[in-house]
Amino acid sequence: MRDRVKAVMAAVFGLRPSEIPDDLALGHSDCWDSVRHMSLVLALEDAFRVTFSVEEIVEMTTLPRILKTLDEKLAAA
Amino acid sequence: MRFAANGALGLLTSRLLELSPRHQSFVSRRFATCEEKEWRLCEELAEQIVRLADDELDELVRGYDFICEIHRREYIHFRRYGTYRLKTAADAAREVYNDTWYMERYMRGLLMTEVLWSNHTAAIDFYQRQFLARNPPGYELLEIGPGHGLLFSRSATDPRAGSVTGWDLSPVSVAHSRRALQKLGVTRPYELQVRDLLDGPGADERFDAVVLSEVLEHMEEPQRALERVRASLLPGGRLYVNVPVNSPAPDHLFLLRSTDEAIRFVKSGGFGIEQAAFFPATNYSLGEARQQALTISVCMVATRTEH
Repeated sequence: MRDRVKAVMAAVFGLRPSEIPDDLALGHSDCWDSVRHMSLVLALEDAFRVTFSVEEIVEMTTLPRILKTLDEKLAAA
Repeated sequence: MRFAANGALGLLTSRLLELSPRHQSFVSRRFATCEEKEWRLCEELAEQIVRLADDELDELVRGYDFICEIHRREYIHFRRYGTYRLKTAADAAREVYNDTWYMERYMRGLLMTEVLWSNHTAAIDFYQRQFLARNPPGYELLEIGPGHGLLFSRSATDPRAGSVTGWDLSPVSVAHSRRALQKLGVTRPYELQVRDLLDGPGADERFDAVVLSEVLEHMEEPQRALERVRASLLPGGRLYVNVPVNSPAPDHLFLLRSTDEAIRFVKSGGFGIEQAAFFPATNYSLGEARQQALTISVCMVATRTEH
């Protein structure tokens, strides 16, 4: 799961997956701002065939939180 | 980073980053490419913002955090559905304007954006250089919705201005503007009135210059507002308009999708465009903003044309 999410993030942010640290967070790097955050969310929805709520999107501001949200979503599906 | 130096901008940004470090990357990039002229305006604006904040700098910072949060939610809706979430003035009144707690934080946040968001700062520069400085000597000016007073104070202290008047339909907003102008040290006489633009001007009430900055996007009937503005201007009078395209916010109702559409809209109200400038969302180029449907502030100086 982590590797798949990193691959999506890398594609959206224009980086290599190896350049995505495990604790990457919105606003803490130049590549992840509020505009790219929504591009990331839409790309994750496509890749994992899920739809996030506004509350989930607002909370998904770090890689660990994205993984947790996806875990919960996929488990409930 | 230059803003780490002393000065009001240093004070504002360092307090922001202490209380909310998540803005670090954004703030660094926003000021990294500032040239000397913009730097001076940023410092001047920051001094005014600090003065307006009194001793409540932390509240100002929290207001900025708040506005980023609510804008993010609106942006989610905009990206999913391609529309602004609210459609009517009644919706905006219910969700935003009638909620005092919400409005206080929102207004504080908006004040911070004047220096933190490059498109807002650039619009103020455009206003001063392309609009105020080119008005005829002794001009009589009307501003619709003077709000935090940063534009209004520039008009009211312009030695070339004859008279400066502000209208807002909310008594609370008028009182807020009056307090702001006192804090900013504006001592020249000015008029602030509780008036609804949509009621139009009085029979012999005409101005040389009208300011309509970040007003149209809040209106359910922007075309009607533009008609009333035209009626408030003398023939050949000048209008300053700042209207954003693709700018989701909790109280934005009127969606313009391109800079061309914004210009066409103003022209359709009986105006010729004297000058226009486009200022993209902070840390994005105009090309990127157009390609990704991001906010662009469209600033225009328009002249009332005769049919």
